Amino acid sequence: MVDIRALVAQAQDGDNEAFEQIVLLYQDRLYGLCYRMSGNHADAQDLAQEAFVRAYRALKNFRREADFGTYLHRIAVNLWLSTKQRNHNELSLDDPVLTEDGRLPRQVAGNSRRPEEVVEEAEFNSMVREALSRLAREHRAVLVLREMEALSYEEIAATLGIAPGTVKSRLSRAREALKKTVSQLAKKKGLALPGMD
Amino acid sequence: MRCNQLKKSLRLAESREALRPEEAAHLDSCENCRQEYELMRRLSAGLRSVPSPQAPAYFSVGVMARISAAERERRFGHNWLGLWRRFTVAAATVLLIAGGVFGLLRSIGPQVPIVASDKPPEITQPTKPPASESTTPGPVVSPGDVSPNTQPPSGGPAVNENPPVPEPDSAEQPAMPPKEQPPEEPVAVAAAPRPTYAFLSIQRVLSSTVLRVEVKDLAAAKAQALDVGRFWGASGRTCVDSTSDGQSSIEVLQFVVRPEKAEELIGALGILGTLLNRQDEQSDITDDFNKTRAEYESMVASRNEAPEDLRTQIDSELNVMEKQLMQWDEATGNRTVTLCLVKPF
Repeated sequence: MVDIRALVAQAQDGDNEAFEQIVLLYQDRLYGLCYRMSGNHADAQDLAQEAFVRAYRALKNFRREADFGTYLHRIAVNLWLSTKQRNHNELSLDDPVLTEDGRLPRQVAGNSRRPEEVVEEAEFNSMVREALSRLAREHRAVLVLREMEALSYEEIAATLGIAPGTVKSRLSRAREALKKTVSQLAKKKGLALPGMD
Repeated sequence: MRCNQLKKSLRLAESREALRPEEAAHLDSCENCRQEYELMRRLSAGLRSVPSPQAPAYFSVGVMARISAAERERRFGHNWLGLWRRFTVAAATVLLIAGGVFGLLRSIGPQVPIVASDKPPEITQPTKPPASESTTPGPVVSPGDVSPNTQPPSGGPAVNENPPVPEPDSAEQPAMPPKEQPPEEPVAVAAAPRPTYAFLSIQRVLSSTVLRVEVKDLAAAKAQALDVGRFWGASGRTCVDSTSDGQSSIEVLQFVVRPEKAEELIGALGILGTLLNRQDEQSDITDDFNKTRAEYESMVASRNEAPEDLRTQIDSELNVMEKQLMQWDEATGNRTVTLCLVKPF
């Protein structure tokens, strides 16, 4: 069991190897968050690396009793919210399900749905990802943190530096915006989805 | 309970259990709201289907390289970058590897400048014994001992017929060049003979890899690349002049690394940005090396007998040839990795 507090203390004392151990411990989680926010590997890598660099620079100010993971999350999310929109292609409608397996089998495995249902679901999920990439960053961030990272309202509030009540209202608006965008995409594709206005 | 009231609640209700009793009752009786609830559920599922990939290989190496670069910049400012830009292209130096690189890059992209700098490369003299092997990244192994097969030029009083295998700190080597690098400026001393570097007569096969990586910040990427190179024990040369193809700015760096560390170095360099292209090749330069060496040795002999006014010109050409031979010598048995950093306008 790695004692992260001890590593942080060592890193704060100037032990760069300790900081590299911290990077190795958190890199997957942070990279995953950055990928889900930015929608592509190039930006995710840049964002995640920069978040670690900033965490390193601000180490002296980190209170050891705080959660280092939340600290990293906060840096990454705020960094992403404050950087300019990049030109990289974000998640596109044509992107397959980006798993290591690569494709639909991820959804087919373990369920007894008909193939056409699986295809329909994959297409719907693709539209959701496309819609997500089109949302304002504030909406995207709160959806990623709540739906994908499964953070509580309090944790999201701590990450974004806002009140829990504000998290709820922002989340509500974000979901509405997502629904509207998916609806527009579905209409463009000539799809009629139940529940769409 | 009206539909629009429930729909507002549904945006925050992440399960049926989270609904109030009157909301749940309305949901049971209203097809429209049930569809809305189902849609919100599918949207959540769609969001959760977005993958959370693992960090790529060498991610932590990239982070530590960035930290090193940031620390260096903080300590020294931007001045250290200017050092590299002072080096000029040695017009007469044509590396076989670079020639292959140019041909390669012409076929895939922009014109590439000559990589060599007139800063003498950090290469140990050819007669040093090789460094010990290590499983951790370490210095590039220098070439082996002098072979008795080398042909010292005649008329050069400073060069022994059969130079003994030198000890690194031996004082008995009047013929061998000093440990410091060859002079950058030719020295036109009336009677001072020019020492000759000796090179092994061996087969020389160069293994090279060219990487083309798109980046957002050329200076930062170059700094990171040099840090990464140092981490994997590679001797790195930077490009001397940035160039452009009209669509992007380009910087070229070249690393020479032990073969067993090559893939790790290549992997780490490849993630400095978006890897556009990778090409590997091997070239047997034995003939070219031997011809150049013969020409070099002959020219040293001529230089020592030439009048003073010609010696400066000959020294200049000899410097170029020495650099060429030493770079080839270093590259033999190692992997040369050429990194082209590209930043679109």
